[in-house]
Amino acid sequence: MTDRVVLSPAGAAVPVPLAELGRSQMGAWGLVEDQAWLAAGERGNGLELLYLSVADYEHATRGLPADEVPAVVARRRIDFSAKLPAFAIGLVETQLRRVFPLLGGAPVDRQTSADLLSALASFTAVPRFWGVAVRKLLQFVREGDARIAAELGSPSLRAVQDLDPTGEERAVRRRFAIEVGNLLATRGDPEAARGLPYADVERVYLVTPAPPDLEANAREVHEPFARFRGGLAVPFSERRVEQLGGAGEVRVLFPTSSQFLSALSNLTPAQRNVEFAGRLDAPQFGPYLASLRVQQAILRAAVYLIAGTEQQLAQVLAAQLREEAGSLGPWLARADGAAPPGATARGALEQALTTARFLLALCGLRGQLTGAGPLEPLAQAVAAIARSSGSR
Amino acid sequence: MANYHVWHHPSLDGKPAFATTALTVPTIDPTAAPPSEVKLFQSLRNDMDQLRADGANKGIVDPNLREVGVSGEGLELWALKLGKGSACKVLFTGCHHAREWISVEVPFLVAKFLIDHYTDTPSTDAEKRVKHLIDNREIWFVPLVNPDGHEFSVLSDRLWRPNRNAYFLQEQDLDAPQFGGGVRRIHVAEGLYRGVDLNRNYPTATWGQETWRGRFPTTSRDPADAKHGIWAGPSAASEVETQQIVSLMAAQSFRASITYHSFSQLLLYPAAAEKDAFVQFVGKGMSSLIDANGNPYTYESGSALYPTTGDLMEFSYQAESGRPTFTPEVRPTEAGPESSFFSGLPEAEIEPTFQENLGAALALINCAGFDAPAASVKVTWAPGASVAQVVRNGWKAFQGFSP
Repeated sequence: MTDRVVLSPAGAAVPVPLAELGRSQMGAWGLVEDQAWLAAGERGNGLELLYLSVADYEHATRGLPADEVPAVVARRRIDFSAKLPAFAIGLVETQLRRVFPLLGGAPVDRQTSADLLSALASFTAVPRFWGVAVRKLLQFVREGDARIAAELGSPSLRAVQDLDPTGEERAVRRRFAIEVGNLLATRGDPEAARGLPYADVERVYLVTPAPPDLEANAREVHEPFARFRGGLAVPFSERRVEQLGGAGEVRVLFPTSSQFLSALSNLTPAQRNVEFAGRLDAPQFGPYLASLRVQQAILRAAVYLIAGTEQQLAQVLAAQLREEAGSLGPWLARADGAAPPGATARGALEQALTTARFLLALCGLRGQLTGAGPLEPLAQAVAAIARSSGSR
Repeated sequence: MANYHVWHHPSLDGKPAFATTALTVPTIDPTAAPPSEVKLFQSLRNDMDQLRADGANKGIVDPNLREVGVSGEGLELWALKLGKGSACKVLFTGCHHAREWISVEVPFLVAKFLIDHYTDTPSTDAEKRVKHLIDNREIWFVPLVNPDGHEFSVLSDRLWRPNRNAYFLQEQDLDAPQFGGGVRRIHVAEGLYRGVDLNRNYPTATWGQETWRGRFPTTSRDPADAKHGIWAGPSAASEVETQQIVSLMAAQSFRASITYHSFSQLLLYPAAAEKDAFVQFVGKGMSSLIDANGNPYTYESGSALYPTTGDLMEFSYQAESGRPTFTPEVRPTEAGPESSFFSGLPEAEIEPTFQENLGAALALINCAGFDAPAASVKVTWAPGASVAQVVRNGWKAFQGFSP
């Protein structure tokens, strides 16, 4: 049984007990126990899911005065609640990603990791990349490994937290990229065998005080930017960071522009201030690298699933996937630090399964199962993995 | 509502990824067969084929022209040749920059509008004007010049801008000429560099000269800038996509051209055309037609935005001196006071963006037939006449245009 954070719009009857967290002209929002919600049947269709857990809600509203919270809820209704069926797979995927850092290098962990990668790839990256030329997919894989190697060697990352102190992972990534380059060379791309893809590391820097020409440049060349505490946050190439200096102070705010963009587009101004303030102390390199690593492993699995009937390609990618499946847990554990007390891979899997089943039931009640259809086989796959993953 | 010509999946547009039958979950096993239930489609190809068929049925589209070549990765540069007036040709291009999806849609919708509204027996004033344009012009549309980059922007990196061609470069020092004089020495590390900005790659007289906005580059010879979409490439017209457009221009001698970009709501003219009376006459007229829709675009020189070299508009003006050529930077508008970001124009804004640019596009097609401003407007057509006539060389023929 899990409590979800929902909005009961003003004027609508509340069909289930609601532990109220707040209220505004929009209505009341609070906690609803998911089984009670589902048991209400169609009477519960007026409720809008805001967050999967109270922890997610508390994270979204952390540090905010009470009068800012209604704006957060209003934003969330538009950006999330109204699009729930489309987000369903992504929500389960996010929870499944939490399993990997809890896996070690033992054979049972490697198998769980490989099964999870395969399941995630089947429902996310395979549909996305199906029909794309295999040669391009191999380029994507190669660029992904080169990018992670470049990130791990980046001075700004290593100054905060060296996530590959022995250089072992960078060596593995380069070897993977070379192997895939050799595959590409046999497919009419001889340049690929000659060198590794160049990856330019970009960070989002906060420059304080804000140089006027920096903002003018960002406006005109369409780079995202945000003013914050008298400074200006902008994405910039790490190799050129000295150009940002001069009289000002330069600090990394986000490890990547995509997270910055996400903050600009999804957060209210008050939320953004809290988020930026937190990142000034800790730009969150670990979670970023963790996300890149899982994304890369899913991509590799997807390419294998799409093109694995080609023998030479299958041999190379299957070997890489086996190695990656065995290393992913330890690599991620290093990036994420200590796991929460009591956290187990099996527990994380079961939580994801609970979420999948809840979303499946909710979308079913609302007649939205067409969009959420793939949730059912994904839930079945997760259940099978949970059964076979031992007691960890 | 119009959709972008992309492969739909939820992270892009909130639509269900694949509302088809369920997949079975394959395992990492070399003997496993890949899943086969899921299909993606390239919607632009289908829509261009439909448009071509519709136009061919009306006898106004060349049914045999499907593309003007292929990209570096082998994707077609879909094309449409519309109209009966081969003595007066006009070129519409879109999506030199991969992430600017709206720039595919506007030229596509202009072509669709013209085909949909063409009739042999026009009754309304608007139909007579459309008939005039199609009877007296040959209009080429290449709405997706950078299909490889566009595909990558859809599949992998929404903000990707250049193409996807790659060059392996040895470690070297390179002396980059600067626009306005001087040289900058660049150290190039050994590596495979992917992504040339097609709109820095045209063989203009100034190709390869680096440009700056203050201390920040806007045209670069440093291949490490490839990811940032400002690398001019290793040589002028090094890219196959650029070569296709250059060849097309050489073969067709277009009398007017327009290349769509986003964003900022600007209508740009070539810096070299600052004092060209006819180009300014046409451009200011197009600008007023856009502004009449209530969402104004700023009319200014391309170099007023920021200096660049090797772009298509400058190349067009160089290749066909004195002929009108423009770059609309369409919606959205500029940044807010505290922050700015671009993560795509909502699909709901495709149609309004097209509508506010339609009159200007038609006016440009009309103006292609003339060399200087004139005084009167008269639209004529009578049953039995071979062509409709717009007796004016100016943009005002499309003032208040309402289909």
